Amino acid sequence: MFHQIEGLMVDEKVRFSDLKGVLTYFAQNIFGKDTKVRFRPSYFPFTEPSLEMDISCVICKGKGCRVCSQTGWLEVLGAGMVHPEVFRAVGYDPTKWQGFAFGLGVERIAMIKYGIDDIRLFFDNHLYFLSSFK
Amino acid sequence: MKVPVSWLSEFIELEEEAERLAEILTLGGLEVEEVYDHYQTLGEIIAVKVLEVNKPSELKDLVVCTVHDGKDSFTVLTAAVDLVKPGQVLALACPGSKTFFWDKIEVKEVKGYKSWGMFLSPYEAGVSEEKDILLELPLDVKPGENIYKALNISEPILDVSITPNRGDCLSVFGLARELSLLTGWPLKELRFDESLKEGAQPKGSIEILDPDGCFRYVGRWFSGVKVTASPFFIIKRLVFCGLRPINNFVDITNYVLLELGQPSSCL
Repeated sequence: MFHQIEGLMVDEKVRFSDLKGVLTYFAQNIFGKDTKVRFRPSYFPFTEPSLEMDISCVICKGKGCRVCSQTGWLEVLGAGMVHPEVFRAVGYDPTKWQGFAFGLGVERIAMIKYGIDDIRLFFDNHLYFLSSFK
Repeated sequence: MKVPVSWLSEFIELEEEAERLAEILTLGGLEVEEVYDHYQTLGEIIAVKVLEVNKPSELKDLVVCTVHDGKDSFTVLTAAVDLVKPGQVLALACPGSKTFFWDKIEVKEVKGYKSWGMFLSPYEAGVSEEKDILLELPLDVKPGENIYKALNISEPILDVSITPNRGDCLSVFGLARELSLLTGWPLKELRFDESLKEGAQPKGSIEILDPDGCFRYVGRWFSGVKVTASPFFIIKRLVFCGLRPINNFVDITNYVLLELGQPSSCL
């Protein structure tokens, strides 16, 4: 079990580069300004085009370790430009509106950022664990 | 989808090794989840030196072999009574390992005699189609060594995650085509040189009962054919891709499905 946070930005003019810029800014502010990001083509039914973003492994800084399975990269989120059919389904004219969307796992981001190794700690309700987040 | 690199190389001139191919495909949108050597997934299959062969009278069709794996000596029972001789270096599948055809190896005991594993034939080891002999290694192979490393046998496999929008990549040829586009490496031509002899007349006829549901049926009638086991190269490739070999007809349909992405059925 985990929780997913989704973000959307919709306006009359939203570009793919806006998406990459916002995600890069997010990664460098959450994980540190030296964090490298990389984007890979992917697929989700509700975005077109779709991408996945990786960050340089926070443990080994890209050299290769067990956490990143020797690749030097950690997958953190999926995103893409909102599919015109999604706009139509909610009554937005896809020729007038554009947007991007992203989704990330809260616990995964926290685990990467704080070096937590067991996702179940978020759900044990152990006061010692909970009180360490101020 | 599991793809042996060697199969891929039949359709495209590969200029890189498996690890680098995985990176190229991943960055191109087809995430490679794992790169591994199929033969190293079977578990502990090692070379052992046969020290002694004994035939106790209470064991009818078995002999007790004392073998050495470089660390310890222990006994292995085998039914290959006439094939084991002291001094041989044989392939032993240790308890906890699997044969090429997924048979789990355990410690066995017969009338008080323990067998710590099973000698493999070249077929059971996935090395060749020979089923009636034991896989012997060159005498200079160190006992305890993994047999595939000793024989220089490896089969790198890419486990590629194919997203729902890329049905065109659900085949070896489809992936080769995509790789060719990503890298510029030349795609080898698909050739269907041999044509089948015309002449067999179908018995009976095909009638489509629901033309709206099925507007076209294509079939080919064969005669003078027999159900047997498939050639070894087909068996190997099916196993590498995670499929179970059944017989030549079923295997052909699966092989063509994996290679070209064309599903078919055999009746």
